[in-house]
Amino acid sequence: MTPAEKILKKYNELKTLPHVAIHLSQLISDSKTTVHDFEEVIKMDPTLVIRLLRLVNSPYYGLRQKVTSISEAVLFIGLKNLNNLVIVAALKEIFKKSLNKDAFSRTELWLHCASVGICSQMISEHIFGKKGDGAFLCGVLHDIGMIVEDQIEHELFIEACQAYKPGSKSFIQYEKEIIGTSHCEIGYLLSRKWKVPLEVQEGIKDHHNNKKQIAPESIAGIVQFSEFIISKLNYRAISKMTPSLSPYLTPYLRDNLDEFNAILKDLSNEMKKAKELYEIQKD
Amino acid sequence: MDILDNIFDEFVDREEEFLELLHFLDLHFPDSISQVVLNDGHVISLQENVCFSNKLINTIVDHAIQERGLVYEEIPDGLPIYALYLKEIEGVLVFCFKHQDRDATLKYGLVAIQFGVKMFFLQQTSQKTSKILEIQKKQRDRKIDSLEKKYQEILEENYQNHKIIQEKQENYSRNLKSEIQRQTKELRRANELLKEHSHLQQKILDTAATAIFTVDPDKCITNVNDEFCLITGFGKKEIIGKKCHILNDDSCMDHCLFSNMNPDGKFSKKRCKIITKDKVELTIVKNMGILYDSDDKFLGGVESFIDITSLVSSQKIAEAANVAKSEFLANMSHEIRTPLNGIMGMAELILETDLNDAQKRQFRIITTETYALLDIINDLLDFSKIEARKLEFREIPFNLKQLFDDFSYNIAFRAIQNGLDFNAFLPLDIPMNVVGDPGRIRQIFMNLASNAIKFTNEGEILIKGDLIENSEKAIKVRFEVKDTGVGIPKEKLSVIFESFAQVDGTTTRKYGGTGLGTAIAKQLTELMGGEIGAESEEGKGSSFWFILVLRKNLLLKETPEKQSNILRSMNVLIVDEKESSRFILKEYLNYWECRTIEKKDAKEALSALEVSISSKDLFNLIIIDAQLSGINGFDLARKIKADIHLKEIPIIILTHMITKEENNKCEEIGISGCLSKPLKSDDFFHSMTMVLGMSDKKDAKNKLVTSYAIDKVIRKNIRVLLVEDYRINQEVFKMHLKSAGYEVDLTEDGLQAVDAFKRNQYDIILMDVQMPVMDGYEATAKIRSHELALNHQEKEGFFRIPIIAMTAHAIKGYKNECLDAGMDDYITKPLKKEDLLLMVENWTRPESSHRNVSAEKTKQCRVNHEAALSQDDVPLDFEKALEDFMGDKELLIEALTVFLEDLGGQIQIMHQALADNDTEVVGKEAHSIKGGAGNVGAHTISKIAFQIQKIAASGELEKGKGALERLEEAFNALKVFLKNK
Repeated sequence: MTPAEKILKKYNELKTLPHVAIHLSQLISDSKTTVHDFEEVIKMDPTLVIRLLRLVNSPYYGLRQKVTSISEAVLFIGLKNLNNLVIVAALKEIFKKSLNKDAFSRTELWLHCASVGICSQMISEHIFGKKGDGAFLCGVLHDIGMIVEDQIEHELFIEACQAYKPGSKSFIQYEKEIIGTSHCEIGYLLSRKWKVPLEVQEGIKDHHNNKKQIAPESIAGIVQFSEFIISKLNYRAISKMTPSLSPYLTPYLRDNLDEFNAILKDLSNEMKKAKELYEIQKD
Repeated sequence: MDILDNIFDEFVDREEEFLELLHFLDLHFPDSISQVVLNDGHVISLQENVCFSNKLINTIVDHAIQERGLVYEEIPDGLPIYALYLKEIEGVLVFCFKHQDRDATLKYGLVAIQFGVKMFFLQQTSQKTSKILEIQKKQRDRKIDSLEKKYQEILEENYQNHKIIQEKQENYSRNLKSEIQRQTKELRRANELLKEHSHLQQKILDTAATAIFTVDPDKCITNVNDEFCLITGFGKKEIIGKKCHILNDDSCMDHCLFSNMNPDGKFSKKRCKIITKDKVELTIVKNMGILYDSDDKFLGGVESFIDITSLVSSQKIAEAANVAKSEFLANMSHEIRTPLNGIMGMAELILETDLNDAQKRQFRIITTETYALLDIINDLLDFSKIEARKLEFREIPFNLKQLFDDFSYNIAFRAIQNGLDFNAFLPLDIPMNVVGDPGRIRQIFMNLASNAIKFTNEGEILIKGDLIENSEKAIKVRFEVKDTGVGIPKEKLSVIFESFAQVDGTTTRKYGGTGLGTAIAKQLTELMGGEIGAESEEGKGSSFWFILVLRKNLLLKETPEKQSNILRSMNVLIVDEKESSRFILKEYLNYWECRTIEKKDAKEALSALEVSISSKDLFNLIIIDAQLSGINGFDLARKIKADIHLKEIPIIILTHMITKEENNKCEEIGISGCLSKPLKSDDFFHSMTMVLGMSDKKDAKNKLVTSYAIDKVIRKNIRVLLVEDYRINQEVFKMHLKSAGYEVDLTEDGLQAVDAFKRNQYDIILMDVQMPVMDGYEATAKIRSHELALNHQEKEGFFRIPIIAMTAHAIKGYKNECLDAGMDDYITKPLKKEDLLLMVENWTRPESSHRNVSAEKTKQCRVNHEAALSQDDVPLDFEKALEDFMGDKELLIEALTVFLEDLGGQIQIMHQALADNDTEVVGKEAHSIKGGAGNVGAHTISKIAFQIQKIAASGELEKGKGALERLEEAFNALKVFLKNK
């Protein structure tokens, strides 16, 4: 068992992600699942239903009609998309608990993740003309490993955060030295458990990878672009961390600078619409 | 959003932009030479050769940066060099004009260049903006594309969803449909079953032999069956829906569950009446039940009934027929018994005349056959009486020992005739004076013993009694009849007491008889509150027993045979082969405190005698059974008598029947006594005292003492007055009595009897009840009153003569009337010799308990007479009555109270009956009062009631008024008397 697996095992014992979310992920993978089944499961957690409906009705989705039930929500945004939202809605609960606000703040991390999610969806849709749901989910989840680390190996994680200095060594290297694994690895394993789409799992695993040929249009690529952009905009996972981009991706950025400039022009507008997503009820 | 502009700076290629600017200047100002110097000192130029000196350029560029505007420098070979700071590129443009003079350049050239540079940048910005717009447009399109895809996907998803749902719905509706079909089918089947059931139910109802109908809670008839229609005459259609009252008689309402809700919700076998359609009243027996549904809701009722109208009438007919049958049976038995009496009597008389052996045998057969016939008739009569519950039990004092001896004697005779050994034993310490019905006890014994004899071919019959309990007031005795006969198989033991049951059909043919004996015995025992049973081993014999509780006659002191201890220490040798008979002898002798030695045969006896000689302890008496194996009893006696040492010892020989031959043998040998088996204890006692010379009753010492001789000694000087009008009976009874040694006077009617009584001293009167001139009752009454008058004069010793009624009627009424009329006992004709003699003996024996009882009775009578004579006397001898109630004062007072309550009503009824001249009612009430008064000891009232009864019987009711007034007076007197108590 790798260190990542060990940590994750402990984490799973805490049952942090609502049972409902896990159950739903399983349902989604079954082609015979209907709205009805979906709704039946989701109804088991009434607060989740409220959160979900709030998300769906937020300006981010720009629905003309107000959605009042899960089955309506499915009709308007699709089953898979709704499942993503369930995970997001469920995750917000995890992010709101902040243990140490100096070196690492979960709420800061959430702003970072939510922003990366929005930006990734934009890049996916605007630049690559692809559906942005996967990219959105990956953006939201890409740093979930940090939450696990913070929860299970809090002392070590905080130590890593404090030890980190921008320079030749990346944060991943600090994590590996101090904790023995990285948030990318943990996040990847967790996402596998949650049975999120394969490409999303890959994106989580590779969002800091700069040693591998990553296709710009892949979710991993998109998330790297958007993390770079969002970090530039000072929504950072860890405040000291400088934005960086895999050398394999920079040519594409350079060649399509105008495209990214166009994204930048629309980004703040989109982020404003996603107010519901950013909101975390403070303890 | 400044920050956004610089995000991608690191990726922008600035040199390209400056080259474009230099191209632009070259195009629009062909005689100019330009190059761009960036802040970092990097130089960008179009021509490789155009080169300003570095020193010059550095100076001018620094200057321009300082000035943030245009500066120029005159160079030595003539052409001025210009430098312009451009904030857009954060650099300095250095240029010169090859062909323009300095002034011209300063005037126009600089402005143009500056304008040109501005133009260039404007162009650049506009190009950039339009490019961004273009990209944004493209991005919008892409987003729309992706949204379109997403939309398609959602549509697809929704469609799939819809499809799945539809499929599910289709499945569901298909399932629903098949389920509905299945259930419909089931329902249909259930309906069919229900229909079949209800059809079957109706069929069952209509086939039922009882009428059945159901009603709803409002008592409306909801269903009826065919039988109902048949019985009531109503059609189904006309009756259904009608209230059930349409059938009701009022009696039905009494039993109605609806009006009289029963917690069980049902009742059965209620009898009531209904009215049919044709207004005919029917008697029915009905069952009814309340109906509830599964929720306990009241649904109504179901009732079934059968019409028993004809049954009731046939039952009445049958009952009447039964009564007729009983009467017929009783009459017939009476009719048969009267001639039988004649036959038996005459045959017995003839047997006592000189007859040759053949004739004797023939007459004996006649006698035994007649007895057998009489037994059968008696059995039948008893049985019919028991069946009709007409059997009555007496509660009279009697002597148990006498009873036991009597029937033992009787049975012995028959047993011996059948070649059987017979023994009877009743322990001498049993209280003898008891109260009960001796006749019935005897009958039980007789029935059981007759069976024993009938079913025993060889061996022995033993009758014995055992005292089980002896309390203050009663004794419990177990009687047993044991035989060595064929026995009864185990499985038949239980049925042996059932009517008409013999072990199997063949026994009836083989042994004859009615098979009623044991059944009658059982009925009698149980009616007397006892129990009966039998044990048997097939082939080895049976033992029938019965247990009775007999009330002690507390008025009499027990006078056991042990009255004297004269036999104490007598040394007696018993020689008897039979163990049971040795046992009995020993029991008696030990009771009298004799010493006994018992021996089985002659040989043993002789050696014992030798020992007695040598030890000089001679026996006082030797008792020998005649039938010893080896040397017989007579030969043994002969040997003893031949012995010089023993010849003086008296010998009593025991035999079954003393024949003339045996009698002679005894006298020849010198035997002192000869007693027949079974031994009666008192005979045994008397004979012992006689042979031992202790009795004054023995005339001559050497005369043989026999049972007969003992009896005769006792009977001597007993004078019997026989009152009988029927000539044959006169002869028979007289001869019987005389042959037994009694003196007999005969009178033919009551009047003569009274005369004879006045003239002579009698010991007993045998009184026929129905006679011409004066009947037995009246004669008895006269004798009693004469007796009383007589006794008044004779102060010392009051003697009340026993009067025995002889009646031909065994049934009801007569017995009580006999006793009520002042008689002491009764005997039913036809009379057997032995019965007659037993009765006389019972009442004349000096030690007879009856005599004592009679004395008591007489005393009582005297009280009554005195009461009758003087009205002033107390209405009730309370002390005497209390004695009758065994000292229970409360019980007596309660009985008196109840009696008085009844009496008041009865007197009123009699007043009315007298006014109506209704002799029957007067007679009936008087009779009832007489009995009731007697029971509570109110003899005055009893006496007056008797007078009234007689008046009623005579029909002269005018005399009744005075008597009734006396009765009322006595009634009031008793009331006052009771109040004071």
